[in-house]
Amino acid sequence: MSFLGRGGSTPTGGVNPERIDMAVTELDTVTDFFNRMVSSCHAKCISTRYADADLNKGESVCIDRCVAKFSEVQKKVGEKLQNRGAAAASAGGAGSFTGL
Amino acid sequence: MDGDFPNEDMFPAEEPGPPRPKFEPRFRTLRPREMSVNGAEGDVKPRKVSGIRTVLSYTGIPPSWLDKRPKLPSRNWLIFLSTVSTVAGFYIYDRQQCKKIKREYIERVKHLAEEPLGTLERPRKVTVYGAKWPGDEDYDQSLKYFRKYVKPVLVAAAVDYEMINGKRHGELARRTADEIKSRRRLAAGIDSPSPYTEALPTRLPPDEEYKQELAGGIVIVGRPAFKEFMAGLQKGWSEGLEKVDAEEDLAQELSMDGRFDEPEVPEEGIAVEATAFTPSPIVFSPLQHLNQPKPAKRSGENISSSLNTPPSTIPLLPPLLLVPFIDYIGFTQVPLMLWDFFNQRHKVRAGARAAYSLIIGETRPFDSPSAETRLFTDITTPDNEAPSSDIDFDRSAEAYYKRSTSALAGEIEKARTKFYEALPAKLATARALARGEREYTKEENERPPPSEMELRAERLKKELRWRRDLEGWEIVKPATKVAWDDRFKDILRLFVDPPSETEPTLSNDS
Amino acid sequence: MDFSNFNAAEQAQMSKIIEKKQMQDFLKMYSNLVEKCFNSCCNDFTSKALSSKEEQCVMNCTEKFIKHSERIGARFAELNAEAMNAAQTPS
Repeated sequence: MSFLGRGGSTPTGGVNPERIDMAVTELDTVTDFFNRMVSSCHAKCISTRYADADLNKGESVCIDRCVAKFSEVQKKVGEKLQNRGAAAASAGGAGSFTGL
Repeated sequence: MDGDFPNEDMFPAEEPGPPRPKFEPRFRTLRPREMSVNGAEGDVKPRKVSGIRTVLSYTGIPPSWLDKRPKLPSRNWLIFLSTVSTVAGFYIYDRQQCKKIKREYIERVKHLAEEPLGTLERPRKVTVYGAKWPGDEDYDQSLKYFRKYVKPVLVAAAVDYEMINGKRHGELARRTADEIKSRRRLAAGIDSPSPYTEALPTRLPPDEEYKQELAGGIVIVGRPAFKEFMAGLQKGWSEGLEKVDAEEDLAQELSMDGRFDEPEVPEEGIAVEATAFTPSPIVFSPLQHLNQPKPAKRSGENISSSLNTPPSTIPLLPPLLLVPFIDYIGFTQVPLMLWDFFNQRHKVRAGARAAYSLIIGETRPFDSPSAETRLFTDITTPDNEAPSSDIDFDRSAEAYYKRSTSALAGEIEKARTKFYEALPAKLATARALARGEREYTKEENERPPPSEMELRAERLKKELRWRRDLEGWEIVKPATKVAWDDRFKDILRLFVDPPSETEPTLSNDS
Repeated sequence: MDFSNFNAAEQAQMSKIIEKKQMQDFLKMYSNLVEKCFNSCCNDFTSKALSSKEEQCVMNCTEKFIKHSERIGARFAELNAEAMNAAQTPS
């Protein structure tokens, strides 16, 4: 998950605002990702009849698989975007991003 | 007054001579008056309108249609229609039965998915092993069989599964052996579990984890996978625990092979010149000095012999579900493929039955082969002579391997000799270009020839692949028996059909 | 998200930030859940009060969502641990 690197050296005993900012951004990203996963998997796996207060086995298994698939999709999309970014950078074209 | 037309006035009185036949017109025009229902003679048939025709005659349907009688189509049409409808009928019947059987088994297990499960608990999990079928380049066939016929019932019963494939021969055996060794290392304390896994809220103590695993199961699809699994089991429990990097070892071995040595420059002319130019008789390329074979690096760990010796008893394995599977491949098996296409319901039933027995969970101990069985059973003994045990699971499937699979060793040899014959020329070009002895030609500029490093890497890759393929084939080929160890006697169990399955009240298929 | 390289002051600040974010996140989840349960459960507007069926449905909905969230949290943590392991092994 820590795809943002660590940068900047800490002044002794002090607080490095850069690193704090990056950590906060990373935390925000991860929380957002988690929340989206919760709502997507809820929409896909749990029926809206709400007959029971417990999760049954079928739903549990569905949730496990939903989480795995969601993170795989995230990885693949991330790779693709990185490749595109790298290709665009090497080709020197900044306008390719609008073509997304 | 309308006389008969034609009237006699048209014809003059009879002249003497032979009597001429009286003119009788062949067609007679009809006058409406003469269209009577009960006409005595005439060309008009009496029309007896009865039943539905009375109604239909007023609907506007052309009257000739009401007179038509049902008629068979022509002979050619009959042949065509009957063939097409027979074939279509087979297909439709088969697929309908498939759906019916699948639905029936799903209905039986559906209630299991409705049971509640705690949030931090895991459902029951089985591991599915599939291996490459000899002769088939598509390594996924056994797992495709699992996905199509066994998986739907498992999904309906909310049983989780993990699919592990062996893409080449011997891969599954190696993977099983590695897993067993890593578990042995963990149990012996050589390796410690990673801190992240330890910190998880869902982490269970090892014996709880082991109990959950035992409650799961192992599914093995096809005899090649079974052979590889048993071979891996034996290797894992019989070998030492050091971490061995096979590629590294192979690289060492190949570097000492002498294939990448400099060819000897033929000595000619004056001895002084010769000694000046020729390298020493023991040919070592300058590059080889850089690549000195280092002593086998065994990661510097010394595992005490007490831990390293294979244990005498093996912990119990989760029960096995052996799924028989045949992959029809090759031109001569096309009739079998056709038959299979129209009879998929048997596969659906077999797969669903296997899944059902796994879900219900009745097991029996594995019927281990006695010493006699091991001595006498191989592919050459006829089946009725050899005492059969569970180790002969699906042996008849081996008769379906293509004949070309037995020639694998020969093919690999041929590929090897071809590669090594072409190697010195490529090596010479690479070295000449690298040392700057000559310039790149035009073709070489466009397509740069492989450098020496690339040639070494290519050789390593190819050798690794050939050796692994040969090892794998040795495990899978029909002549080899399934690997067996006496320690396996008590640890293996098989899933069986639950008693309710064998009741005659269940629907039978044709 | 490995905060072990941070020194004490940074860690203190981070934990304050994390606390604040957790509170915000919780409130967001609460409003989201209310909307979801309302949308799926309450369809009869002939009366002002919640019928017992609707009430039961809302209770079930809330329970289920919390359990669902817990389960996903557990799986997510496992995923992270795996990723950490994979990142650690080359070292």
